Amino acid sequence: MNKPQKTILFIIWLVLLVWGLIGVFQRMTTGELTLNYGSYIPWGLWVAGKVYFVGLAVGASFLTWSIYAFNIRSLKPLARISLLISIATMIAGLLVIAFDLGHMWRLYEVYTRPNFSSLLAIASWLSMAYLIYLLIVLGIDLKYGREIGNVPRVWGWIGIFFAIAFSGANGAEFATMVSSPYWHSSIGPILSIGGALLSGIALVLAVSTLSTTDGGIDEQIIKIMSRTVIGLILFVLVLEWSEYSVAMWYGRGGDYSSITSILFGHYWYVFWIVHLAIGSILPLFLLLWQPANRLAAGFSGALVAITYMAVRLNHVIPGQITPAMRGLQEAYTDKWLTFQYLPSSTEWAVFAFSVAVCIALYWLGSRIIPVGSLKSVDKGGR
Amino acid sequence: MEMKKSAPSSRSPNLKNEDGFASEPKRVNLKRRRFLKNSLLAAGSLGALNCFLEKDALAGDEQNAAPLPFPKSFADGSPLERMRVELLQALKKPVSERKWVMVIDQQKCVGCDSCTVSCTSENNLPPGVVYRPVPKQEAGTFPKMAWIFTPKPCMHCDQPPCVPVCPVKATWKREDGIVVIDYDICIGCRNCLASCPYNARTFDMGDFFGLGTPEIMSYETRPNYEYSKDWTRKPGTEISPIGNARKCTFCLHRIRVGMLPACVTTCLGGATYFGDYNSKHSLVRELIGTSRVKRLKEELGTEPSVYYLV
Repeated sequence: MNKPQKTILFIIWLVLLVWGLIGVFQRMTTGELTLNYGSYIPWGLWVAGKVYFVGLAVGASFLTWSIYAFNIRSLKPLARISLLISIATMIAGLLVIAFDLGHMWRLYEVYTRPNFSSLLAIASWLSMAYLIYLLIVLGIDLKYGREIGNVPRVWGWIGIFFAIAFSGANGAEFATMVSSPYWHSSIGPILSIGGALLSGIALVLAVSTLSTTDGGIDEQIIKIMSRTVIGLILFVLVLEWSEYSVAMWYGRGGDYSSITSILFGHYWYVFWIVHLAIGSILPLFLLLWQPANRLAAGFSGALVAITYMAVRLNHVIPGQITPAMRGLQEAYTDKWLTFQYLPSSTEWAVFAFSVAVCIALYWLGSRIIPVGSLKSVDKGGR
Repeated sequence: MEMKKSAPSSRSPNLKNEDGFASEPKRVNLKRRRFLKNSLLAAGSLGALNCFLEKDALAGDEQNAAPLPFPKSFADGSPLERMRVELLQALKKPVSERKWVMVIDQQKCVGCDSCTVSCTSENNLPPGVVYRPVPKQEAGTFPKMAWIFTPKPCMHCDQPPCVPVCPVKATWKREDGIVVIDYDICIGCRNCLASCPYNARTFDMGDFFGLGTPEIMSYETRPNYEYSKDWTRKPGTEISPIGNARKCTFCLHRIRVGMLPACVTTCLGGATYFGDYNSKHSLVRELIGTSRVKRLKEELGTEPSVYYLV
C-alpha cells in the first residue's frame, strides 16, 4: 500500500473516530433519548452490529483453525492476520453491544448471576471465552514462530468446534424466539454460521491483499481464498433462497409480511442493491473473472465484508416489525411505540466508533505483533 | 439482591454529617465521635434490615401484609364488590395457593381507553411505556360493521417466553402467577421485549412528557409504587426504572393491600374481571367456565392468565 493510499485510509479512520466520539458523548450524556429504537422495535443497529462483528470474528478465526487443523501450508501466512482481525472485531462487537444496554454498568451481572437457560447469557459467556481462546492461540502461534505445523492441530480442532458452537448460539438467540415467525426458523443458526464464514473470510482476503503491494502476496493464496469466497457466496445465497422462497411461495404464513418488507418494502434496496448486487453478484463476477488478481480479490473481499452488515440488519429489524395484533400501534400513540425504525445519527455514530476502534486495534496489533510475509511458506514466507 | 440505588426518599435516614466531607478539627471530641459511630452502626443495621425486607417484599412474602381498612365502596351484589371480597379472602391464603387471573369481556368493552389512562396514572408511566393499550379492529364492511376492542395487559403467562430469556434472572413468575421484574437487576438488554409474542413489555427510555419544555411538571417526578417500592424517575439519570423493561404487574402493590387492579375498578363497561382462579367459587372461575372464553395466541403454548370472553 503506497503513501497516498495510507493517507486516505487514515483520513477515513479519523473521520469515523471523531464522528464516533460525538456519538459516544451523546449516548453517555443523554442516555437513550437520541436513539430511535423503542419498545416495539427494541433491537436496532447496535444489536445487528454486534451480530455482524461477531460473525466477522468467527469467520476470520475459522480460517486459522482450518489452517492448523488441516495443516494447510499454502495459507499458513494468513493465520496470524486472521487471528488479529478476529480479536479486533470481537472487541468491537462487545463494545457496540455494551452501548446498547439500558444499564451499561450492570453488564458484569451477566457474568456474576447468569441465567443459562438464556441464549443471550450463553452467547455472552461464549464471547468472552472465545476472546480469551483467541488470545491464547495467538500467544501459541507467536511462540512457535515461523515453523509450520508446530502449532498442535488440537488447537485448530478445538477452535473449529468452538467457532461453530459460538456462531450457532448467536444465530439461535433469534431462532428460538417464538415471538417472531421470521426469526423462529431452524435455518437461522446455519445461516449465522454461513454468514460468519463468508464475511470473516472475505475480510481476511480484503485485508491481506489490499495491505500489501503486487508481489507481496502469493498468487496461490489469492486463488485459494478467491475460490473459498466464491463457494461461500453461493452457499449463503442458496440458504437465503431457501429461507425466502419457502415463506413467499404461497404468499401466506407468519413470516410472509417480514420477508415482503425486506424484498419489496420501503428499504428494498438494502437487499437487492447493497447485499445482492454489490455484496454478492459483483464480487462473484470479479472473482470468477480475475481469480488471481490481487486488487480484484481484495476489492471483492471488501465489498462482501462491508455489505454483509446489510444482511444482519435485514435479519434483526424485520423480525420485529409485525405487531402482535392489528391496531396495536394506533392503540397508544407515542414516538417510542412504533413499528417503524431507522437508526438515528447517534446510533450510526456509535457504530462508526466501534468500526474505528476495530481498525485501530488491528493496526496496533499488526505493529506490535509481527504478521510476517504473505508469500507462500515454500517460497520463503512464514 | 443489590440495594436500591435511588435518591434518598423521605423514609431513608440522612447519613451525611452536617459538615459534609469537611476535615476533622485537630481537637477530637470523643463523645461526638462515639455518637457518630453508634449512629452510623444503627443506620447501617436499619439499612441492612431494610434490604432484607425489600427482598422479601419483591419475592412475594405477603403472609403478614394486612389489607387496608377500606370502606365498602361498591354496591352490594355488584361484581366489583364480589371481586373485592374474593380478593380479601384470597389474601388470607398462602401465596402459593393463589392464582391471579384476569377476564376481559369483549362484548362489554366499549373501547373508551379508561383502563389505559387509569393504568398510566396509577403507575405514573412515562412516554414510551404503556401497560394496557386497547387495540381496536374493524370487522365487516359498511353498513354491517363492528368494532372489536382487545385490551391487552401483560398476559402473565404460565409458560412465559420472557422469563427464560433474561440473561440475569431479573424477571420471574411468582407463585401466585404474576410475572415480575426486579428493576435493580435488569440490565436493559430488552431480550424479554423481543421474546414477548404479545408486545406486552415496554422499555423506559428515560423520556419525560415535559422534556424540552420550560419545566418538567412535578407529577412526572413523583414516585410510583410498583412492587410496593418507591420508584422516582429523575431526568438526566439512569436511575431505575429508567433503562429497564417494564410491564403490567396486575397492580401487585394494590392487590397486596386488598385493592383491585386500577383497570378493573375503572372499567366503564364493567368488562374487566380479576380474581383468584384457585378459589372454587370465584367470579373469574365462573366466567372462565363459559363457552365464550378464549386466550390470545394459544397455539404458542404460553398459557396466558388473561382470558377473553368473545
